[in-house]
Amino acid sequence: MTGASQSKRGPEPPLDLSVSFLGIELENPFILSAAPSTDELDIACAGLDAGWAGVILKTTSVEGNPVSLAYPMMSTMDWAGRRLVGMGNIDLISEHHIDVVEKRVAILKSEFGSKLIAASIMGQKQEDWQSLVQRLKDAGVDLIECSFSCPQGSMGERPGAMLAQSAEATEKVTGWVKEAAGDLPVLIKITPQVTDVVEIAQAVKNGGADGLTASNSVPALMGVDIETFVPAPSLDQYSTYSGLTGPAIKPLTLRTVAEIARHVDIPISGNGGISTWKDAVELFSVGARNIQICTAVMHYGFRIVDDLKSGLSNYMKRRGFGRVSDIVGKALPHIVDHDSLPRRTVKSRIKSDLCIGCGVCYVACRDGGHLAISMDDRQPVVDDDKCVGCGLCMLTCPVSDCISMEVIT
Amino acid sequence: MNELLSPSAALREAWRCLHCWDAPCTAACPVHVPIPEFIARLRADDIVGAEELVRQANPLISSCGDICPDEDYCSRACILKDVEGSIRVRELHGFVTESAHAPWQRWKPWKAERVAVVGAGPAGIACARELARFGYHVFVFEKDNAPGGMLRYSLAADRFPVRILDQDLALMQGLGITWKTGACVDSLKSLLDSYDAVFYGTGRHEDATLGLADEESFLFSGLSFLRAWRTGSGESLAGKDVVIIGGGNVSLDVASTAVHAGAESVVLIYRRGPKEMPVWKREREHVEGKGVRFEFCTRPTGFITEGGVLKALQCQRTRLIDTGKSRLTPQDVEGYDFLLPADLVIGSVGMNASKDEDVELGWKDKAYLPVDENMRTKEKRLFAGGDLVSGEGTVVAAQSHGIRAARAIHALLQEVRS
Ligand SMILES: Cc1cc2nc3c(=O)[nH]c(=O)nc-3n(C[C@H](O)[C@H](O)[C@H](O)COP(=O)(O)OP(=O)(O)OC[C@H]3O[C@@H](n4cnc5c(N)ncnc54)[C@H](O)[C@@H]3O)c2cc1C
Ligand SMILES: Cc1cc2nc3c(=O)[nH]c(=O)nc-3n(C[C@H](O)[C@H](O)[C@H](O)COP(=O)(O)O)c2cc1C
Ligand code: SF4
Repeated sequence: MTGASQSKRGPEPPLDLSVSFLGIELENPFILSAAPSTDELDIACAGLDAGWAGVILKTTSVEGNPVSLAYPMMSTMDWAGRRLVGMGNIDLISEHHIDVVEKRVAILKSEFGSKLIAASIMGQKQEDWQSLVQRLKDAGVDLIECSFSCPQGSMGERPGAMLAQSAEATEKVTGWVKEAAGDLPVLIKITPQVTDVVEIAQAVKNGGADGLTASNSVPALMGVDIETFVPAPSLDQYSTYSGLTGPAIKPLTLRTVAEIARHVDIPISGNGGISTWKDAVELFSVGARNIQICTAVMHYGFRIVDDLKSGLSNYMKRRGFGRVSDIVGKALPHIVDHDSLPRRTVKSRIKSDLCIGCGVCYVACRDGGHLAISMDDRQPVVDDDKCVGCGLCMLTCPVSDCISMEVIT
Repeated sequence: MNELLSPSAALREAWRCLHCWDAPCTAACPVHVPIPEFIARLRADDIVGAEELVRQANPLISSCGDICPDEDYCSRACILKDVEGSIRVRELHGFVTESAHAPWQRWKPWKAERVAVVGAGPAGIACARELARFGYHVFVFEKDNAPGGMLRYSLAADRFPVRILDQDLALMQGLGITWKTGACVDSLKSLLDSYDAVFYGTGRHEDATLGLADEESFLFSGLSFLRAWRTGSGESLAGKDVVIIGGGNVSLDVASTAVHAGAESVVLIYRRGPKEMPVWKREREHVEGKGVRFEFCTRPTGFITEGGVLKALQCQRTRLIDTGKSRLTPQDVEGYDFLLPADLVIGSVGMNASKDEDVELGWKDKAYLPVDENMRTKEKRLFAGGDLVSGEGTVVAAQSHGIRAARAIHALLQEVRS
């Protein structure tokens, strides 16, 4: 065992996961989004201590703005025996007003000088927005995020509607905020719940914001108790719509971010449905420059940041990416409009040596409309004349790599 | 070797983990493998990251993934044990370590101090690795021709392939440890003179005696028997009736090896009943179906020979009575004695340490070497661990001693330096 060639003294430094965003250096791309985990000072500190690169303090407002919470506020979307595949909340913005938050910003900034200390705000009138910005700026905040997308409705314009559902309002309020912020970076947090998210992103840019956060929870009705017919969460006889977050919304977030990145030249902070390093890599690849997380932390705790960093580093080492920014946008050249997709003939190919004979593909193809698979003594057989190549059989097969789609022409 | 989980079975099992806070499984593991954390990485498909977590805590990572008696440790502590069945932690550990092996980076010791480790069993290996990670010059002295201790020379060959141990040792190659094999240490005093600190982990290698007449001639040592078969020098037992005196895990390895050696019949006698046998479930499963006959409530009383050749083992039947002790006590059943035909009798009723050091260590009865909670002996710079101090233990427990000692040695040397 002796005599092995030895080159180094001491352990190798870990991979550099830092990212630069709007001129701010982040030690890694993982930020705690504006949510319960950032609503108390000591909890936010614990998150930063655990290794998160920054916090966005939960959305605050001017003194006297009423915030009347209703409990219980959370509900779960369960699937396949797993809890919290999606999470719903009927929370509102923070009960802590700007007088509390500005002090916290100052404390956090002095204790965690090298981390991102950001605050989220929501106002009604122009002077509210602008005084919130001014006071945070005075407190030494690194960045301001404006919540234009609370599912319970932003204040102002049209009660119950979100600011970011109107391009006009978005541009106007962004302008107010940026006017007060000056050099201080401003992010606008938008909603995916719009007809055309590109129009909104363009409005954010026109209003002068430095970047945007895409996106936020998605308005949803979390479920209905079929005995009482009261939806979840149930508050006596009543319920209301929730904001859906967590793994269930990841595909929506990917699309929202990709769509903005393809059409508007504006820095994006990605948020919504990210739980693992793989989710994060996917979101980078469609244009996000960093990742905000809420639900996965509420479920599994701050400690997940170690796993996010580990998985990301190991992936980057394996793929030879030197910087996180090298991954950003990697998937975008592969996204085209439907018209531009190649038209080819593909057929299902089933590996009989791997097939366990469950017949799930047979049922799927039969009732999914193409009748191209028949069962021969528990072995599925594809009829090429009937197979349209949709790929459903491949998706439903429980054995990995058993069914693939072969390109014929 | 135990069968590995398939990737899909591992994933399903991993998803059953609740990711408990302050996980009792981790607390129950002697080296505190961060179990929910490695499982979380496994289910996020970061096998490399999962392996890293296990490897940092457990130097003999693949060996434990194969033969760790998790039923006494992590799996016993699992919150789901009485709910839907414990998470199969050892199997997930084994899956991770068989799917990814990352060698330690190549580096050189960067501290001035030199530490000697006596005995390259699990305790010594773990201690050496931990010391090397702190940056010390580590010299391991091993009497045998290769490191591994019991793992290499005693575990039944058909249960634990040595390649798994070698895989673990290969990962440590870059750490700059100097392995001196075929180097029997006979003076701790001189080691203490030439090294800044010494770890002593020589295990227990002497089979306990039974006190029968002519034992020296007719009782074969279980450890020698296992060793012969591990090293390829075992003689065929074809046509022979073999009786094994035992009851514990080691005697089951002896029994399965005797079957493997072609014995005509293999009988294992034990003085208590089947429920009292202190054996691990997997050891029991390993001998099941191999044709080993168990004679419970039986104790040996003498060898029957003809012209100097062994013919049978004389036995006495016992019955178990409750004497208020934690275990039932075997008592002879008057007039119930019988013969078991035997061409070979192998004894496997426990192991003792040899205690002939030239340093006064205050040995206790039954050969337990006394140490404090930091594994320090009476001698300030001498630390000890493994079977030597605990009695017959496990690979993971011996490693935990080695690691604890390494940390204490590090603390001591830092103290000396400052
Ligand atoms: C048959 C058998 C089956 C087992 N099965 C399992 C199992 O399935 N799972 C499990 O977890 N544990 C098992 N164990 C227990 C486990 O192997 C031991 O607890 C563990 O090996 C103890 O480690 P150690 O380092 O204290 O001692 P050892 O493994 O005994 O190592 C001590 C080393 O010191 C060397 N040495 C001794 N004297 C000197 C000297 N003077 N100079 C230099 N070197 C010296 C020896 O050659 C040896 O290599 C089994 C044990 C046996 C015997
Ligand atoms: C209970 C709860 C309260 C939240 N409060 C706020 C808030 O005050 N301001 C805000 O901008 N977003 C708020 N959010 C939204 C999160 O910051 C985040 O955008 C959303 O949960 C999607 O990310 P995720 O899927 O990682 O959870 C809240 C989310 C939850 C679950
Ligand atoms: S080393 Fe043993 S006790 Fe620890 S996690 Fe692995 S199997 Fe469980």
